[in-house]
Amino acid sequence: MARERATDGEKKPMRNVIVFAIGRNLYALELRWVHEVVSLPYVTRVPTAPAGVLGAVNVRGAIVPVIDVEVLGGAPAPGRPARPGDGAILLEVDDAPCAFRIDNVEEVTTLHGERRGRLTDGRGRDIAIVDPEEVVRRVAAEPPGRGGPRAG
Amino acid sequence: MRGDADEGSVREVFAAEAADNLATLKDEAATLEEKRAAAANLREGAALVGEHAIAHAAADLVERGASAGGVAALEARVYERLIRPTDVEVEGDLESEEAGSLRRLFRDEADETLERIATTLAELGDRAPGAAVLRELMRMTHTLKGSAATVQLGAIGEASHALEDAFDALRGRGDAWSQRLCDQLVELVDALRAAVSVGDRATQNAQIDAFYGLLSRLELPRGQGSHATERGADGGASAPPALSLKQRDAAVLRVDAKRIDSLMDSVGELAFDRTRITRRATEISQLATDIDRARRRLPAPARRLEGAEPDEAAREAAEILADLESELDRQLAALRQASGALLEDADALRRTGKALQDGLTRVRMLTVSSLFRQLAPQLRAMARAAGKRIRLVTSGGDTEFDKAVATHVIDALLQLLRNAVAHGIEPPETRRARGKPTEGRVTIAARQEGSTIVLDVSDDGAGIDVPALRRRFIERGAWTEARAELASDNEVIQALFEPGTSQRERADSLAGRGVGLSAVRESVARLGGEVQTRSIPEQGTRFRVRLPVTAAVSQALLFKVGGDVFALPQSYVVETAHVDATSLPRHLNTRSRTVPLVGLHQVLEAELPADARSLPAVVLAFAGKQLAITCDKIVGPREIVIKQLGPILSTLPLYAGGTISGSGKVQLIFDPAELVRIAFPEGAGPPGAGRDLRPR
Repeated sequence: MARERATDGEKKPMRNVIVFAIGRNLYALELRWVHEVVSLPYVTRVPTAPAGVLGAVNVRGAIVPVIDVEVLGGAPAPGRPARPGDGAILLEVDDAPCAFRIDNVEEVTTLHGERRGRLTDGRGRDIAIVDPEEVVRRVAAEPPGRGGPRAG
Repeated sequence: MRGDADEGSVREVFAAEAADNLATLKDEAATLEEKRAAAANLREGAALVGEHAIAHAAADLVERGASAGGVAALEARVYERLIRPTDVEVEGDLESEEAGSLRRLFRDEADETLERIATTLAELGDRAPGAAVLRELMRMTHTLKGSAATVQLGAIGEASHALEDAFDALRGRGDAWSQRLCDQLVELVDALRAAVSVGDRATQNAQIDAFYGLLSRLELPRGQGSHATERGADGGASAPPALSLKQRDAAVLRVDAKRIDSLMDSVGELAFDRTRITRRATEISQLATDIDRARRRLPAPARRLEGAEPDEAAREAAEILADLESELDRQLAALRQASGALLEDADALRRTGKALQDGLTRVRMLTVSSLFRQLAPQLRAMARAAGKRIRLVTSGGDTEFDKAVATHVIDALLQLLRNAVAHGIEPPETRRARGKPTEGRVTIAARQEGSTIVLDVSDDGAGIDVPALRRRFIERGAWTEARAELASDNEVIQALFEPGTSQRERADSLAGRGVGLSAVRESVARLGGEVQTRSIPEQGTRFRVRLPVTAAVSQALLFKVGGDVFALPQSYVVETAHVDATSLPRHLNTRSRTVPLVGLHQVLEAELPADARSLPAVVLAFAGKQLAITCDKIVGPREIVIKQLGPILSTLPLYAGGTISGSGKVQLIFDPAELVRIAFPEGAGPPGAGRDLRPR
């Protein structure tokens, strides 16, 4: 099967990805980023944090922020709060460990035919490619949460 | 009992008699027979009032004749126990701090020596010690006696002497040796260790009494070894080789751990300071960007003037504007450079701070063997109490880790040992029936894996009875039958670490009351570690504890706001108070002054507790300013392990770091500097306050 599409694949880069769902949206993250997929323990709220930060969790003694990748989609309201038992992908971006909250893992696969940050899988589903560096950058650039301390 | 009136008068009579008897013993004119009678009298009197130490010293004189040294020792004992109040330290010049630390050194050393003695004995079991082993045991006790004298802990010195005599009595008497005697001797040594380890006089005396109590029950062969004669030869004024405290190589320093801990605390604060500086520098560079944006709007009017027919005033204004523009450019460049340099400096500070912290951590590294030394006598005591024979095997004693971690994990390890003794190792009969050696075996193995210490506590006992646990969880109503059926063995074992489960049917003194393993998991989690369990029926259980090699431990006040627990470094907390929740004033009157009150619920966007009439408030001081913050509930002071928040969260000015609770939850630590900024907004302004910095 791979050979049949080889001509296609040579032109467009192939990606080993993990495909996950948040609500109805599908996302693909390159496997090289993924440390492991876990279910979240107790999530501590982090008041004043940017909207993309859903909280902080203890991962083997380290404090790791839980991040909502949908901040990329420009959703005005942050997604639902993260809860213990939710799925999450642990990864590290620029020495910054973080956890992306997910609803569930769809598959681990090879996809190609990227167009403007999006892919279409074998079943014709539209999948957004997640660039974790971009996610972390955007989260950091977000204004502080509404609970942020205001001077004056 | 000693408090009784009768008891008191008996003691008085004894004290008076003791003085007479001592006078006889010191009287050069008295005959040997008279002296012996006086000593015997003293011995009986002392035994009657429960002064085992005096009785022992007197018995020594009865048996060996009154040497000058022996009489002096006895007199010192009597003097100390009966005539002086027991709570007064006898030592005059040893009250200085220097002397105190000298004593702590002695305790360390005595502890090491006694553990070596105990281990040597324990390894003998029912094999009688040879002459060489006894000589070594006597050498060690003799050195201990000398050391104790150096730091003027006479009672410990005498007890060591008594121990030395006990070993002496065993020379050439292999026939008197038995497993039972061996156990008794180990117990005796452990009792002396207990006496050495306590600082206050009264407790120490009680421990020494316990020591002599055990000594009096010891079944030693009668008759004397050559040791007594040797001592007689030098007139009893034997000066034992005093000790390594002074002989120790000058290149090796022994420093009181407290001093290093306080240095470590300062280094920890340095990290907070550095984070703050970085944040300020970032703000300044943001400010420069803001000013630049404003500047871009500035030259527009000047340019508009160029095309038109400018009058004098307008041209002048344009020139001023142009000057101002280039001036502003220069200042902006300087500002950017300064903030960049500040960031670099902060980074240099980080590197230096890190080096300092690493260095100090290395200084306060302990070897695991020091941990083993503390655990071994406890395990022996547990085994004795449980009536089981247990041998402790240790390995990896050279592995090093932070003292802060060691102090906080010792209780957890003790609990695991308790577990091994109570639940793991079977009674001797059962072991025999299972074809195991009657003596159980508990192993503690340590090793380092990267920045993690792995401690395996294993036993060769019965293993965890998983089916029984399933049944018990159902009986207790903790689990439904379906859950118990579906749970894997591992899940059942994990449930043991939940609060409120205890493997034993009945709670007993040994294996807690359902707090055991959950407390273990808690204290290990606080340090950022984890516990894994592996158990094989009839072969044994292994608890694997993984811990970080180092930990930054600090005192903090914990309090709740909106359901989550937050922490504030204790060093900034002044006091706690209460405020009216219905009106929530903007200020709080403390005992000495009025301070601004910050409603943390507002800052953290948390709900106020529904029906609260008054809220607790924490008054804190930082950088010369005081303020109060409200919370839902004060949890209390705790020792916490400080964790970095990582690059993403550390940009938040409100937090200085985080910690992990006993149940594994993240708790955030407030940065008092930011709380001050919220309370005093007119002070150091936030980034948006750049308006005030317009050049004039």
